[in-house]
Amino acid sequence: MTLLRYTIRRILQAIPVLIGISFITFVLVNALPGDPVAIMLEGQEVDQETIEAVERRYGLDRPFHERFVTYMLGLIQGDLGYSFHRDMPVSTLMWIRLGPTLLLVISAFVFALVTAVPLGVLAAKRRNEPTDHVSRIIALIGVSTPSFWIGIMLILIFAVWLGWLPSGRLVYPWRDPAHYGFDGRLELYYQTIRHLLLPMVALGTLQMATIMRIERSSMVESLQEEYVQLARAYGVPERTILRKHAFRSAQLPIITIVGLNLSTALGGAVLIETVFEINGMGRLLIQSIQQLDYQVVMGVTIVLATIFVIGVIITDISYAYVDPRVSYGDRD
Amino acid sequence: MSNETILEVDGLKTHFYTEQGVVRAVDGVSFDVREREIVGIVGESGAGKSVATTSILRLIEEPGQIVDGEITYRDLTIVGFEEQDDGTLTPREAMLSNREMRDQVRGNEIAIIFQDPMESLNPVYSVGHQVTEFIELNRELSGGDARQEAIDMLREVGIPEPENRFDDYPHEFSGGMRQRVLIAMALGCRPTLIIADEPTTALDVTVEGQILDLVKDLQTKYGTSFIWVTHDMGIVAEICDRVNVMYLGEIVEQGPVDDIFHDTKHPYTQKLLESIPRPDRTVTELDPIAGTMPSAINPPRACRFHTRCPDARVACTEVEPRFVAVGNDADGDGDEHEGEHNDHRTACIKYDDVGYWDSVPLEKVGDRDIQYVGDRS
Amino acid sequence: MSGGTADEGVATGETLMEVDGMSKYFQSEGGFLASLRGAADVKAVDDVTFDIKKGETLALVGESGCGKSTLARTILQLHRPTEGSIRFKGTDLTDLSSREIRPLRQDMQMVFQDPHSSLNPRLKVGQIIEEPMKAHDMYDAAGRRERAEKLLESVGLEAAHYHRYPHEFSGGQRQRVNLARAFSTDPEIIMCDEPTSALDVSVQAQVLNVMKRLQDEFGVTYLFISHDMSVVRYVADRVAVMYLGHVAELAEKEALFENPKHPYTRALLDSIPVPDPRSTGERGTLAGDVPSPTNPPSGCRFRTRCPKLIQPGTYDVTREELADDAAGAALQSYDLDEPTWRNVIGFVRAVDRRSFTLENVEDSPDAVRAFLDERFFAGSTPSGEPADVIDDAARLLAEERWDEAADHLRTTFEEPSICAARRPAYVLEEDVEEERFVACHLYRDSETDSSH
Repeated sequence: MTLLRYTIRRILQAIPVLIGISFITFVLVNALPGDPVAIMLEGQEVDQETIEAVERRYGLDRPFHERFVTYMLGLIQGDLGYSFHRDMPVSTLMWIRLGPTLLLVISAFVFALVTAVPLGVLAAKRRNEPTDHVSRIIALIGVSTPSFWIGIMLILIFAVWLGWLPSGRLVYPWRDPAHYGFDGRLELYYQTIRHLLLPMVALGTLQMATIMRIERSSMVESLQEEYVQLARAYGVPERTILRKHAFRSAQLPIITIVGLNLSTALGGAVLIETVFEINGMGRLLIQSIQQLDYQVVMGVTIVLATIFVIGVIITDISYAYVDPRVSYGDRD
Repeated sequence: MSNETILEVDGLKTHFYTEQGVVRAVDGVSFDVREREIVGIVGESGAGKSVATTSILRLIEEPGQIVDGEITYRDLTIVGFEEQDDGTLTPREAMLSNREMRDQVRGNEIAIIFQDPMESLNPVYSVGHQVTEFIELNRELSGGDARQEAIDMLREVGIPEPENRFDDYPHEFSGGMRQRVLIAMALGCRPTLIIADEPTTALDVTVEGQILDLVKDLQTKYGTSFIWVTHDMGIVAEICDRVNVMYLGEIVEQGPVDDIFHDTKHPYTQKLLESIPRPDRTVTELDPIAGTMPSAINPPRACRFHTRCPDARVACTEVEPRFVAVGNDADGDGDEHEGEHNDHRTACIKYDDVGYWDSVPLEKVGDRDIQYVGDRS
Repeated sequence: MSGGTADEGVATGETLMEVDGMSKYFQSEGGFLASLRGAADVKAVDDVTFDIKKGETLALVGESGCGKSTLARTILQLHRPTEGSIRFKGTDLTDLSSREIRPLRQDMQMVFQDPHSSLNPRLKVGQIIEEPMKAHDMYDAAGRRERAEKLLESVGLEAAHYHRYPHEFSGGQRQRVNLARAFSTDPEIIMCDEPTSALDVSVQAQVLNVMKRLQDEFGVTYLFISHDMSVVRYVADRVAVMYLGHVAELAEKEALFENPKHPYTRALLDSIPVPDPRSTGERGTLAGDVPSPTNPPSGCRFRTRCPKLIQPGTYDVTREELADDAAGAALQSYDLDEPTWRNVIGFVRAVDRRSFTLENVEDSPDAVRAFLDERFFAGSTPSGEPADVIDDAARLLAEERWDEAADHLRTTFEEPSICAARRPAYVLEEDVEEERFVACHLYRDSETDSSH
């Protein structure tokens, strides 16, 4: 089976998963205590008739299964419903909020990879030497410290005490520089990075720590493989051994871990967005749960779930692509 | 028929410093390899065969260390020590640095083939890529030339359609094919000596037969010498010119292959031959060697085999055996002949003049109370 | 000295187990549809029939992938057979449910290859030996203890070793513990899957001797799997040689080793290096690789490598038995003399395996033909129809159409042979009491034909 067929197959397999997720979320959201109508009409004196009219308007008077089907049908057409609270279609809301979240998550991911992989390789090469121990401590701190705490600490140190970096919000590189009052693209990008630094580190630290340890142990194992010994026996210089012979096959577990870590990253994004006041989907999710804005909650959940499923598919495909031993399912 | 000596190993000692103690894996091993010959190293697991061959390429890693001995390849000093005033040994000036080993010896002069063909090839690079890389590294070829040479070598070892299979990955080859690839890799570097560490142990017997034939053909064609490590006496008989029998870190007997089989001197070699079942005749009773091989951390005192030897006497626990030349009786007719090439040596005091025959036999064969190095009885 | 089950004590030499038409297929990946078709099945064991006699050591030998391990494990119901029956002391095991088989396991024990992974490192050795007895409710605690200690002594260890843990023993000693455990329930039959392959040579001899002694003492039957013919020659009474899921030959040990009938047996024996530098026989070499078990050759599975492939036309073969393209490609007459026929088949296989190159030969069919003549047919070259086919092949090879050439040659020369058309199975009655089974059409004319 070719890579293409495999990809299509995985995508098709993802559909029942997404339907299942939607259903479960729907059930859970409906089980939430509280009355959305009451919240919407808070502070206003209303009579029963108005209440019923509002319910009818948002279809809240329909039975459960009907509401679900209506929702799913709308979903297929790209209609994610309507936000009670913000008075706009959910899909529009998603669109606005997706950018910041992706920017944050992807940059955190890049940060994690760029720091963890070289550090992990180094730790493996200098096994049991001081470098290794230092990296172990860094990893331990990274794994055990809650990301929001790191975020708050970073803000305190770098924004409040040292004043080097901004304490919150992001600058979006796809906007017009004039929007922010910058002269030109260059300053726009510079400011983007400045604003991104702290949240990126806060979100990416956990990933970095995990990847670093896995990279280290994977490299250590790889360095002990017989084919590496053979390469040494043929006179291959040590740096080539590290860079080429041991490195590639050691990356396979990393790919798996990274793919699975995506869900953690998405979850972490919720916290970091709150700490740094970033108007992304994570923050939206919290707010809409508090506001019992059903449709938004559903929408965000489904979008996040889809991102996650796509991430897993990409992981599977990368794995199959990188490891020549993995078959795509069919014998040849 | 005397060929030039290309490799000389003298008094090699390689020890491992572990938490449980010092493992004296190779403890004074001496042998040589000449042009165009196949020298066997045979012994059971724990004898130190692989450690000895790894030491030749100076690939011993922590916690192991080569602590004594001389290894000379042609005029290069791979291992050489000099004694200081306080008795410690330091590497001699002439001893090659790691860098020099890499550039001058590993691959281009001495190549190695490991036991498990599945583990010896990198799974994420194509077979052709790996063969080409080593050829490029060890010969004056690069780019397209190296690639062509790789293809030619693959064809030479019997891989059909090597141009097409060049880009295939190791897992797409069978075990026998993979071993052929490893042979191609080794041969492609045009070394003078190839160390083959149990290369057919993991293969089926019919495939093993194919590989042995291949090696014999290639050896004739390219004139390469081999050090062939194995535990299989059948292979030794078939392919080796001279043999070294190892036991617990030492060589107990060495000589031409016919002498080893038909004029066996050392009791260990003798018992080894008696304890193997044969394919060519039905053995009614196997006579196993009593006991088990002791640990190399505290090996038995003096002769290491005395704990299991049926001929052991008290003298064997006191006198350290040294190599003794044993008879020019190569054709086994009971007569010693002048001028018969006497390469046959054994480390057994039975053949020495140190009072073996006056000594009292040791009681009970098999796992006797081990006389530790440093103990007195 | 029979074991725990029924009282139909089988006398030594009588049939203990009958394996009849047994097959074991495994599904390989291939997707849902392929598995429905059964196309992707690995036919590990295919329609095998033989007996096991009480008190004997029956060896199953063969190289990797031949199915010997699968066969033994299926007999002992570690796998359920896909087809066929296995009668143990009269009862068909395939009729029984897993629950009903369980008590019979008292009589069927096993010893595996790896001495390290087969013993639970958390249990004392004595407890390990007692486990099977406990599982089958044999004796009481004191009785089991006593028996475990006695067994330790029987295998050459000491009763005091009862309290030790597996890691305190060497490989050979662990295998003895495995044996003691297997004997604890006084079984009728013990399957040993390469019990000494992971051990050193000198230790191997010790363990084999222990096994022999125990067999004399307890009267047990061994189903002994090994790839090592030397070991088999030492321990076995009868030997079954397997190749790609079929039994190629089954005979008494001496008869098999001294006078192998099946070409594969002969090749196998010839391949083994003899521990004697003076041994004069040239070691034979078998060319080629084992075919895939998901798509094995038709008829005799060894036919793609057999040095004694039978010429088409030697025996009558009906059209139905042949594959379609074989039937179409079959020549009117072959009539080649032996040396020529051998050359032809050598050529056919060389093309199939692409074991030569035409790099240095001119592109023309004539030049190619001349090259082939010199390389493959020196001495005996075919004439007539066969020669035409070879000319065709030469033409195809000149155009680099190797696959087509290989197909053409194969369908003409190999596929119409009886060896490809029909699966051989012959029972020869030799002058000894033992029947001898050979799956080879060379013996077609010798006595009984029990092919199915």
